[in-house]
Amino acid sequence: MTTRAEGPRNVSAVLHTLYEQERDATVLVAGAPGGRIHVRQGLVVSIETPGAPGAESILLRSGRVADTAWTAVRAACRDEEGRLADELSARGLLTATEFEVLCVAAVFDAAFVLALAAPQGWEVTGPVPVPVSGPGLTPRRIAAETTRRLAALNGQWMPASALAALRVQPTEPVPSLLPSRYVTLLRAANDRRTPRDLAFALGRGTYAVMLDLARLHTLGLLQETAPVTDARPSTAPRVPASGTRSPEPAPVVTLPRRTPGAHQLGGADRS
Amino acid sequence: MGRVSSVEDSLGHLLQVPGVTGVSLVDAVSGLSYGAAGPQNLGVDECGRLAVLIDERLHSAGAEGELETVVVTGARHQLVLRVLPGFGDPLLLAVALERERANLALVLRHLDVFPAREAA
Repeated sequence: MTTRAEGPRNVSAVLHTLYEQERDATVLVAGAPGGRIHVRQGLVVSIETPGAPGAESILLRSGRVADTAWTAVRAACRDEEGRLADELSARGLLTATEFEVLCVAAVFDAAFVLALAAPQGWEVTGPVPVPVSGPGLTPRRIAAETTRRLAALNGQWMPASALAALRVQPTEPVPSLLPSRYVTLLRAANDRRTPRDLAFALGRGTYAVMLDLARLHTLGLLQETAPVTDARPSTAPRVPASGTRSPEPAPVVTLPRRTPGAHQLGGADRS
Repeated sequence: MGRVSSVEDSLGHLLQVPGVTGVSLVDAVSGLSYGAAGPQNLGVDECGRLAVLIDERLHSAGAEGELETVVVTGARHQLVLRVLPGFGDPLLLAVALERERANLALVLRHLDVFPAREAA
């Protein structure tokens, strides 16, 4: 997967070109976390990335639609694009407006996550079937919202890319006089979860979780438990890059040995 | 492209209530606007931040439960923020009113039935 030297200079430019050509395509973005951007008639209808929960996982995590009902709806639609909204509302599970809100929120959240790190490359392919897709969004609107989100976070605690990799835990004790959303987030935050992990665990957007964490830090309710790095959260492929292995094995270190006869009671080294 | 979204279609109904000059549906946490209707354009991001701040401070002051409605009254205009439960994060319905023409009680009544009507 490579970028062409004469081609568009970033993913945003790729999306803009597809928009002008009103194409159906899927853009594969390589990197950490990377993802797949589904474009129909030039508009972005869905983005899949391991860095942010998609519409399906947020819906099921919220419990608004039961797993069995969802499976039945998916089966009825046979992965036919655009039928999901009608099927959900026909069965009285979710209104068209609710479904639209869910899908739009997921696309913007995924776009934000992809913007946190420069991609390693991208490739435009023919349209890959996308079972869960919402209304089409223009690349311009996505870019504007992503810029707004990055600016909103960067003005707070720390740069957004650093916050995305941070593991936090609440300062003790957690005050009782807090909105329930904060209490739930503080209870879920342990020293092992990144904002992305918290978003998946709670069925919320990754950006919304990061925004709440920044706010909780301002309120003095969070403590950091890991050093801040620019590294991406736990979504990175677990394959070592070639050439980065340590060139030589670490020297063998033996434990210090006691020399017989050298030990003296009340030696000078006791201070 | 160009078609009215489901969200904007639902919001359009609220514009028929006398005195309502603008309606927006916004994510209460992220500030993302899902749609708007009416001539008056509300700063939805600010509306979201205002609701978050009010919610926070009310809890610090000892209030319990969830925030439902905020009514801000000025000399000529009113702003109503209604929190709607959503997936994970709540949504905020922001309604701008012209005070001379609007009946606040009637508007609140319409907001009460908004989710039910939207589902119909």
